[in-house]
Order: sequence, then C-alpha cells, then structure tokens
Amino acid sequence: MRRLAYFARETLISLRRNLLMTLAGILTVTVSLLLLGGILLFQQWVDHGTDKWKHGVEFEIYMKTDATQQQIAALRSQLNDDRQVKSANYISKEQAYSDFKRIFKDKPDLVSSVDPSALPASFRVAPTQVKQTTALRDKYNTRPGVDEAITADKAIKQLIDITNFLRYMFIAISLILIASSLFLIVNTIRLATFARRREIEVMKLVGASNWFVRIPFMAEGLVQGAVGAGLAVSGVFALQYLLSQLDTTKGFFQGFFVTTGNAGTISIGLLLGGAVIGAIGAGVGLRRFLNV
Amino acid sequence: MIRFEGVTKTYKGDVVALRDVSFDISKGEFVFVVGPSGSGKSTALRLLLREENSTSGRIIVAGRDISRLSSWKIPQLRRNVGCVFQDYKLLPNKTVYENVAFAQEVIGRPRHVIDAQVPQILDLVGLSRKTTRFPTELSGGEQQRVSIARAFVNRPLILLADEPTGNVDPATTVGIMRLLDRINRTGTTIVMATHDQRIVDAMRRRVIELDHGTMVRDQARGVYGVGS
Repeated sequence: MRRLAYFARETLISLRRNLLMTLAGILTVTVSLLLLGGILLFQQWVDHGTDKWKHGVEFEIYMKTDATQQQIAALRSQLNDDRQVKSANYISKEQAYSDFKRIFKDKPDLVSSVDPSALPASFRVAPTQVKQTTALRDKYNTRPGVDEAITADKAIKQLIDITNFLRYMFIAISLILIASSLFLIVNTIRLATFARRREIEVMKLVGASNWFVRIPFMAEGLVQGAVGAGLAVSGVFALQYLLSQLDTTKGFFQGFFVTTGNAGTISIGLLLGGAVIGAIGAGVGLRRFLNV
Repeated sequence: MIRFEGVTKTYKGDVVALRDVSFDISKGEFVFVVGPSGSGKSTALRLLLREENSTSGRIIVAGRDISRLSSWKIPQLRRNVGCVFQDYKLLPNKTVYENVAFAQEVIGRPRHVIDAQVPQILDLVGLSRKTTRFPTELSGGEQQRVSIARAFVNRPLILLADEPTGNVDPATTVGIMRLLDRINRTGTTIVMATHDQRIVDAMRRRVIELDHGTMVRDQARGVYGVGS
C-alpha cells in the first residue's frame, strides 16, 4: 500500500513538473487515436449500409409483401437456372426483420412500430457479367409476385471506393501521428529522468531494484497514453452519436448505421493502443539511464 | 569478503585502468587503496559496485563472482556494499533525515523500521540535532557524515569510500576517520581510496598501492609512501 502511494506520488510530481510536454504528448496521442478510431467507425457505418452490394451483387429483387410461397419458389428456381446469374441470395421476411432490428437497435420505438409481415422478402442477385445488370433487372422486374427490382445506385459503388481510399489515407496519417506521439512521450520521459538524475543515481547506488526506479516513469508514460486514448474514445462516441442522429430510414444512406457496441469495440482497441504507446515510449525513454 | 583475481580493466580497448590486479580482503578489515590520480583506485571501487564490469579476471564479493552477475541482481549486491564519495551525492531538496531515510525507502523498508533506524544512525554520526537541515545549510564535514549515515543505514557488509576526506579540512578529516573507524569496529569491511598521506600514516592499516593500474604494494599496517 505504502509503496503504491509512493509510486502514485512520484508519478504525479513528475507529470506536473513537465506539464507542457505532458500535454503535448497526451494531445498527440488523442489526435492520432481519434483519427484512427474515427475512420474505423465511419468505415463500419458505410459497411453496414453497403454490405449487400458486395461480392458482385448488382441488384435486388423485392417481392410483394403478399407474394405466395409458390411465386417465391418459382422465382428462385428461375434464378438458379439462369446462366446469366452467378448467385442469388434469398432474404426471407424474418431475416429482413431481424436485420431491421439490428440496424435500428438504437431506435426501439421505430422497431416496435414496424410489423414483421410488412417487410418484403428479397433476392440479392450477382450477375455473371456486370454489363448484363440492366437487362436482367428488367427481365425479373415483371415476374409474378415481384414488387420491384432495384440496381445499386452508382453513387453507392463510388462511396465504397472513396471509403476504402479514405481508410488507407487516414490509417497512414494516424500511423505517422502515432509515431510522433511516441517520440513526444520518449522525450517527456527523458526530460523527467534528467530532472531526477541525482535521485536515480542515489537510488541505484543504494540498491533500489530496477523496477522500483522504473515504475514511476512507466506509470507516467502509461498515464499519458491512457488519458490521450480516453479523450479519443469520447471523440469516437461523439461521432457515433452524430452518425446515429442522421435519418437513415430512407434515401441514399438507407441502412447505414453504427451501434454504441461498435464504438465500444473500437474504444477498447484505442485504450489498449494508448497504453501500449505510453509504455513503449516510457520504455525507450528509460533505456539510456538504466544501463548506468 | 573481497577477492580480486587477475582483474584487468581497459577502456575503449587501449586505455588500461587496472592490469592483472589480485588481492584478498577479509571480513572486518580496513584497507587503504592509495596511489596518484589515475592510478586506478576509483576504477577498483567502481568495479566493486558493478558500476562497470571488469574486462577480464574475477571479482568475488561475499562469495559471489560479481563479474558474472546478471543486471537484475546488481541491486542486491549494492545493498551489501555501501559507498561514500568525495562529492557526497546528497539530494539538495531533502533534509538530512529524508536523505538518510531515502536509502531505506527505495529498497522497500517498512516505515516503522525507517523511523527506528534513521535517528539511531544520525546519532552515531553525531547529527541528531540537525535532522531537519538541508545539505546546503551544513558544512562539508557534516555533509560527509550524512552521506556516511546513508551508506551505513542499511548495514552493508562492506563500506567503500572514494576520497571521503577530499573536500574537508584536516580537523574535520580526523572526525570522519574516527567515524569510519567506529563503523569498522562493528565488523563492517572498509575499503577507502585516498591520496591523503597523513591519514594513512596515522591509521596504520593495510595499504594497497596502485600505480598506472598495476598493484605495486600490499602491506599490512603500512604507511603512504614506502620510503617515508
């Protein structure tokens, strides 16, 4: 207990002594992790909305809500026999409803207002060749029981490309920032060890164990990393809140969503990342004096 | 207690600080290591603390070959080897009491042990009335007493002193040597590097003389210079 109090006191004193450097370290950690977390969250938001357009799916066939089982079975066998169709995935009413519940998990009153039978069953169709898409859509648009066949918006495809590009760019930027936050923490710890070099010298001479000397500085690095990550986490949750406020029940962004659970998973990663950055920074910053 | 077996220490390959030095110091001895500046006295003490490692040869301290000690065991060695320096190495922002207590705190001694032992040791070195002073408010001799108290408070088997009287006047020197002698009488082995001829001649203890890294003399009850 007494020893814990000692470490806590030493860490705080050291953090205060280098206040500006400490703040610089914390803020760089925050910015780098916020960029990383933000783009991951945004990516999931887009992924959830564009998931059905992956794996070559070019159009969806929505059945009428009152389509009979025979009509559905007939359409399924037609699709399976069609040489121009590579694959066709059937999404039943029940599946549509559970997807709907998942998407609007954060809006329970919307979910309760929707009757499961009001949602249409559908097929997600991937043509063998993309250029046949329009012809295929028109061909199936008029089959019995079909309400409407819808091709993916061109903009959706572009959005997927842009998001992928943004993701790589943001990850690259955040990696550079993570490196600079590492350097800042290394530097802060170096300054801290320099400020306390006499005490460290005496501690080593009277036989304090290496860990006893190290822990306050490691804690200092950890605190910087963790506080920075904490700030980034609140930023990620703020972004999640903003995204969930968008009306995604209709229009271009229909079906785009991220849950607080997604933000939570990312946040755990960010906190771990922050702690690792802090610990590595402190470890490197300490290396020089430890060999004395 | 301490044994050097053919110890050689070279720096950067060609500067020889110690060359094939061998000696044996028993428990409770008081040994002077003498020689001019650059003769290798300080190097020998630094090797004993494992601040540096020897280039070749063996150094046995309390039955352990410390030249093979892995780095995480060095603290254990240093708890058994106290040391005192010419420049005291006191912490200026701590009081006399805190400076001595610090040596116990950082090796994890419980508070009640510290509170019992620090006043006792400060009494031994004759500073029990100056416990709340800061080092800058003390004379050189008093500061050296604090540093001796700090080195001795953990009851090491060996006390190393590197020119402990180098910065104090002759009258104070006598007091410091009396103190070291008292500590020696408790059974603590003392190795003291010095080039203060009067002390060595007055104390008449064992003398190991180094010259340019080579041991040129090892004499029981010796004096500083052979001819004097």
